[in-house]
Amino acid sequence: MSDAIVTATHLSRDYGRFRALSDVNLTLERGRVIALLGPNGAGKSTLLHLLIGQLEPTAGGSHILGHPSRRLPQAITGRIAYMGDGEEPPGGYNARQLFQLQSQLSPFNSKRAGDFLAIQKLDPRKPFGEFSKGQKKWIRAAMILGSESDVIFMDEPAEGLDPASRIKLYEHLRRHVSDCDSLAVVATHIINDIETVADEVIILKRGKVLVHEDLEDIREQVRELFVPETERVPDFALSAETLGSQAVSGGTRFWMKADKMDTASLAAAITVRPVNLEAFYLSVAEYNHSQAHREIQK
Amino acid sequence: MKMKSSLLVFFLRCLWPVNAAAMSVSILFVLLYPKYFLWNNAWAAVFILIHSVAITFILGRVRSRSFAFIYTRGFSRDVLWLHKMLASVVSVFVAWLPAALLIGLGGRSALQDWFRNPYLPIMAAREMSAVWFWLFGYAILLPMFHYVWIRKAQPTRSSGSGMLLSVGLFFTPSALVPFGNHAPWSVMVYGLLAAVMIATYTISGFLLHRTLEVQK
Repeated sequence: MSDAIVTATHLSRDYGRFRALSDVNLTLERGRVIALLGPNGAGKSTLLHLLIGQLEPTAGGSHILGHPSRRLPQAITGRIAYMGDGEEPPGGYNARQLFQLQSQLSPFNSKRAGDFLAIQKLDPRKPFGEFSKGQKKWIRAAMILGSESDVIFMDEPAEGLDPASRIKLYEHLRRHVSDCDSLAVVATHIINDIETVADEVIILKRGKVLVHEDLEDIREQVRELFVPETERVPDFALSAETLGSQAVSGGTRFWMKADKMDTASLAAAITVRPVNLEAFYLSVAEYNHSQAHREIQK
Repeated sequence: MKMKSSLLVFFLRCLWPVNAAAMSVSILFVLLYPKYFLWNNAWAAVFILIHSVAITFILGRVRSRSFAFIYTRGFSRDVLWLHKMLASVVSVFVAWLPAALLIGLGGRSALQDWFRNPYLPIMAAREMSAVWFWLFGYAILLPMFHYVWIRKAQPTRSSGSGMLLSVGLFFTPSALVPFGNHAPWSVMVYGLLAAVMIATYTISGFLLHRTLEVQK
């Protein structure tokens, strides 16, 4: 039996004459953390809003836990947790009141939320409006992580958090997904942090899904080649098979599929290493100069 | 649908400044107005209109950050709508219950007696019916303005909301005016029309609230 709990079929959304999201097809399963990546304006937030039913699709549709996103009954909405980028509780509320609000919706683990809050030593009785930007994010994350939701959507949850806090946030998110067998979709620009916990990657650009792939598969299939300025660029790196390239200090980086590389003939100064998620994202979304990345999906 | 006290409190907290101001004004109005109240008191009508617009505008700001927050907590649209309506009704009582008590229990009469108001003998006999009539004004205006803001947040916006508002504003005085000294049958007809209008706006608002868009 499939564990798919979020599906999207030909999902599209226009804002006037601007197509923000175009023909998105997705199937997302339980027990997974999905990194949703893309440049500004790629359609990440629009996709999340469509999935939780806050926006009407122009075409296509989506389902969560078997129900259409735009017609979710109370029994289902209480099993979905969302932390958006454009919303915030009123400043007069404190963390304790926010937890109480959340607990009226679905089973809420107050201890887990309180423990998460205690990591940053935040006073649950202090008004929300008096906290810093990062601390506000932390409190909102505590609301999400305290819930026993089946599906978690987070839009830029780590923005404004210090590096250590970002790591802890994602550790707790991973634990929630494992403990509750939930699904988490995290839209972010801070790629290195999400890479430590992500199982799958979705890369959007101009409203279209460029890549939807297991992170492990990407690591296995794609390599980064660094050619110093003093060395000649190998012929295979200049072929259409190359995913992307970027001139950097001291040489050029190339990203390509491992089976398209002839590593036996490389000069000693040329290095090959497994690609990390940020480099892969850059190769696909920013420095792409071929359509070869589509093959990765096959 | 179960009552969610936290959700009702959330909406009432949003309305708190408006309701505090409305309660203060209504109390001062009731205590100090020198003539006796009639159902068609112009100041009361203006007050009810402004208060209704303020309540529905505040509860209709679904694209503000705090409303985007509450709409994405996991409450179903029907639960949110119900609690917005409850918050509206509570707001009306917050504004008018103290004023009504001042009239009904004689606080206004006592003060006006102290002012030596010549209208004092007819005040107590007539004024409570005026208050009931003002509450009826809210019953018409609140569903209508709620409908307008809900309509405005639909994915397929049209000028229809403006047209419907115009129709509503036409029918509102039409429904209210005959309660003066007109034939009994006209009271019934316009009362029925008002009831149909209230039901239509309420049901339409409830159904359309399911499809409004929270995010821009």
